[in-house]
Amino acid sequence: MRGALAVGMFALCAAAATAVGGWWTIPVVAAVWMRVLSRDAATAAICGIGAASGWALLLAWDAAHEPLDTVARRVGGVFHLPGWAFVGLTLLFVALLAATAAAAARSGRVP
Amino acid sequence: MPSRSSSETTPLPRSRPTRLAAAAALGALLWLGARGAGPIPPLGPVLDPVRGAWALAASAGLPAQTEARIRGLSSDTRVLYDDRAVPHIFAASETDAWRALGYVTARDRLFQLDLQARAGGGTLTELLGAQALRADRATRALGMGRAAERIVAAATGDERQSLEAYAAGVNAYLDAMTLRELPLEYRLLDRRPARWSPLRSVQVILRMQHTLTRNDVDLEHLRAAAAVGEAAADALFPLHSPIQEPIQPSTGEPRQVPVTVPPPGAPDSAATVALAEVEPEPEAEAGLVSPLADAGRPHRAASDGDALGSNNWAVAPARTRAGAALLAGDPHLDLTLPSVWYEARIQVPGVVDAYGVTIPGLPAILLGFNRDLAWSFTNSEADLMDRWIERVDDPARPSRYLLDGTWVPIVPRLEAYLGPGGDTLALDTVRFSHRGPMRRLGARWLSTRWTALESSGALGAIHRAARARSASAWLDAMTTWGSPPQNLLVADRGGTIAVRTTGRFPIRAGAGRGDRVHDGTTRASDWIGDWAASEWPQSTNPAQGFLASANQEPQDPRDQPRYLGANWPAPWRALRINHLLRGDSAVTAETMRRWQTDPGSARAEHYVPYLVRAARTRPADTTLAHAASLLAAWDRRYTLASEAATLFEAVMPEVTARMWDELPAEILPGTGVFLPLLDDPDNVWWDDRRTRDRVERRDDVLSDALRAGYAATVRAHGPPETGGWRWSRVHHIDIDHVLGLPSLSAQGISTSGGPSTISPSSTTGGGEGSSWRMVVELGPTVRGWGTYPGGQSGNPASSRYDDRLGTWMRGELSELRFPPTAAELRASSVLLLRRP
Repeated sequence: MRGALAVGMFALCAAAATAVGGWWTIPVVAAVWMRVLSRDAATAAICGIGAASGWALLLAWDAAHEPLDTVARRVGGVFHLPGWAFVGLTLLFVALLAATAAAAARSGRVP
Repeated sequence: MPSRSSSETTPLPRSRPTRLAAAAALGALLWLGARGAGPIPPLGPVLDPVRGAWALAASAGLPAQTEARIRGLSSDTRVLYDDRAVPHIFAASETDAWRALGYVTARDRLFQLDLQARAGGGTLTELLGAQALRADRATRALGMGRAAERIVAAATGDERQSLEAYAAGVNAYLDAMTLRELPLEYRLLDRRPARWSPLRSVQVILRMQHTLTRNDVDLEHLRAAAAVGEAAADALFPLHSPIQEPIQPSTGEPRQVPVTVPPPGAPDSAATVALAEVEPEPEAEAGLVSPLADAGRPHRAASDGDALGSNNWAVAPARTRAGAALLAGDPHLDLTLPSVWYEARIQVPGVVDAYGVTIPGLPAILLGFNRDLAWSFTNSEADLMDRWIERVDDPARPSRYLLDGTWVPIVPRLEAYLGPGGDTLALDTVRFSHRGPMRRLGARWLSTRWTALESSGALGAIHRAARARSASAWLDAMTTWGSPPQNLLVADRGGTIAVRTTGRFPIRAGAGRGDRVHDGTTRASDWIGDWAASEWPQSTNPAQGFLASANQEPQDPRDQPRYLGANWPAPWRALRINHLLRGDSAVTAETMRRWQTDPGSARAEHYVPYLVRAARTRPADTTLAHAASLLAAWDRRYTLASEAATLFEAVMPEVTARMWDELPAEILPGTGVFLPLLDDPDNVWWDDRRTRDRVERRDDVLSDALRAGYAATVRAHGPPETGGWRWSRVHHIDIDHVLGLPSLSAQGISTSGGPSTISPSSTTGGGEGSSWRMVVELGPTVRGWGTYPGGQSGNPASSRYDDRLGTWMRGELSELRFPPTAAELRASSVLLLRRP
């Protein structure tokens, strides 16, 4: 339950940070989350899943009134990917970005 | 073992290696996100759901109401978008209208604008990097860089104002554009758009001139003479079309010109020497290949002659059902996504109300109609580029050239090619004689004079013409149109129809021919003037009641023998159009629309009977008989269901290979040259030199080609009864994205028509075709219909990116909204442009 709550919280933070600052804020948020809020071994995973969920939220919000399927198909095609795989690539990219930043920011010792 | 208290720090298992691995992975991801790797663009700006490529969806549609500011506007300007996403610009002055056009074009086609200008200015490397260096070098070696600067410096008055206003409009959009609206292509290339200027509009004009007017007829002739002698070369690349169906009506019926094709002769020694000295190096030719779909393609290559071109025709009221003049136009260009055309309307009360298409980058409605008349162009195909062999003081680094016994200084110009980061990728010195740019080819230096480099006045002419109220006033206004020379067709509500081949046509000294490489050591070989407007091919209200042009030789040489060009495209489309026009004295707009995609082929009508007759000379050959029966039963129409069209197009290259075996592979005479040979069955050109023990005659070659074409078709598509020969399964058009990205392209489009039909295309894989189709009825109220293959938006996320493709493929047209007032236009989106 606490894990799900953490994922949800991080998702909201990731979405807000992306909206304000852009994609590069994700590793910053993940590192801060790890250093300040939690140094649990599972935090990297929480950040990764949370970041992907945050971007998924943003995409879902847009998809409700914009032709995201067309973007996925056309831009995915540029990367030789089907539309669904381009969505997957987007979420995988941000998940890895957050998870690796969190893992790298983890202190060598915990209190 | 010591006990651990809660206050002690505890090393986490695998902490350090894990963190190091994570840091390394993070570093790689950040690098990939910010810089990309190899062909992968920076992923961050692409995948970001708020500012990345996903954000393109947000700007895919036009907002119902929006406002923007443009510096220099004299008053508020309204832009109403109709249900086809066409901007209708209602402005208080023409300069305001051009500002608005610049703004809306940038909003819809920003990347295309930038790319076209860079292609015309030879600055593609700044966007695409070193991969575009050869294309840029070829562009600047032609003198296009210097010419653009000179043309823009010479622009005055209305022309200058329109260029500056348009630039202000584009730049206003750039200033207002958010990161979310940045076109996809810039994200993929990790670049930003450059600001617009009048120079960049002129570069777009030059790029179009390059597409339309560059030709190598003098070098083609030289190569042919070096292979088969001067007399044969003259016949293979004739000064006049072997079939006369001119734009300016002459005899009223097509006329086949009696031509004797002399046998292949000994190589012309002078041509051989000259050719050895000027033969382009392979690298120089390859440098003409551009990343753009059609930039640099040698124009009017003989093999392209039946797949490219443009049409326009007009019918006088006496031959229309409604009693009003009708006009149709369909320019053919290499097709791209976004389309080369952008549809727009400008209205300035009391001055102009014009609807039509513009080329992104130009402040003009190039083809279209106003409240009183309609107009359309086809390319004139005249010879506008000559070359001179110069004698220079130092072949390695020439600084002077010999002219009438005096050494004249060469004007050098340093051309720097910059990379995307502003770094210098290469430096060239382009040299200029008084004639134009010089280029080293082989051991010689050639200078080139090309009317495109000296052009001016076209924008001013089309602006004045758009304001005209009658066909004669329109033609008067277009008299200053210099380049690219076009066959201008106009029809008005008063019932006048008129055509005139308009532009700057040089007069050559001596024999007056431009299909020869000239001696550069004397001014006596220079151009000595231009044709007067009264000498241009033209016709107004001819007795036949219709006019048509399809890039054919504009005048019968019996009416005007002076040199205008050589190796003219065979008039197959003109023959078909005029055949249809002669056969209908109650033409309607619907008929005109249907004719624009008529699949009938005058070329097939000419050749098929000879093939069928040749097959009868070998009655024992059942395969040949079967192939001939398929052709004999063919209605010579390239319909989707046609199987014989596939066979015919397989046979023709076989005929060509056997016929022109005496010529080097890069020389291919036009298809019209076949005609006199078809009626000369014993001509030695028919002999296939590859068969040494046999001397072929016409019917031998045609039979062999028919058999080989049949066999090739079976190999490629199976036996005919399997259905694989259907034209719809064989014939495809590819409309590529301007960067050639497959997922942003429309490939494998199946349409009727083929080589030399009214809507021509290559057999397969070609990217050329009808780039805009328009029909206008000049009744009490002017009505227009049109479409082009693509859509108004350059945003691939928009439904307007390619929404017209289906209409275009089916040969249908959409009604063009042209109500007199803004109130009558049911606008789907409104853009209000205000002063800051």
